[in-house]
Amino acid sequence: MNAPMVYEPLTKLQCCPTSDGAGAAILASEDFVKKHNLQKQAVEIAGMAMTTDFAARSTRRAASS
Amino acid sequence: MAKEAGEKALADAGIPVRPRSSRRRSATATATRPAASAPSTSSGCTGIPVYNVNNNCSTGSTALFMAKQFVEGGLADCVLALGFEKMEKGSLGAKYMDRTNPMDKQLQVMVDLRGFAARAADARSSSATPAASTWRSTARRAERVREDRPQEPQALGQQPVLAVPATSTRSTTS
Repeated sequence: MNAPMVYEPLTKLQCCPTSDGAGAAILASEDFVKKHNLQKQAVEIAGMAMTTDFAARSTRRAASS
Repeated sequence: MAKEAGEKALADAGIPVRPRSSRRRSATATATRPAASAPSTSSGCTGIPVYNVNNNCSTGSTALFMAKQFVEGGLADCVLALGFEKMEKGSLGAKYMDRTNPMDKQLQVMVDLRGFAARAADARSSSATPAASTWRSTARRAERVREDRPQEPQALGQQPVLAVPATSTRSTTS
């Protein structure tokens, strides 16, 4: 909360720095993992969800609602 | 950068790359432009479906989510989800002035509540960068629409889509 203000109300620690990078993940079915004996390094995705804003986003009158 | 990430992921997983494999494989890469085929080809993943995903800051997680769905639904046995970004210096700016800003509704709320774009434009008015010019243009258009439209919140949904430029359409995984 005491970080320098970049642009009210956002402080330095609330801003994404300019950055470069790359990342990759390999997802495989259970059969594929077993077939190639990858059980030891495999990690199961127990859950993952994706959603978008609801229509109310454009009619809200307060930044916190 | 993207090639390195893809190759290291494959090596780490211990999965040999066999071009034109008979196995069902897909590569899901993330990029604003159709750039996914480059790292996939250079990694040896050829002859397979490749998808370019653009979901702004959720592009990387979208690629991962799509890869999960492909596997979950039995459409693929093995999928590479890959994301990369090389950002430009400075603040995010608009790239495309000839189309609707995907963030226009949110931007309108920001302008209404905090005068965001207008103040951002003022703050940058002494700068001659393209980003500053874009912000000023965005703010002017947003202000114009705000003055013209009814004030009832419920009417917002029926308003024409704001013709303000995109604030961020670059390749992104952040």
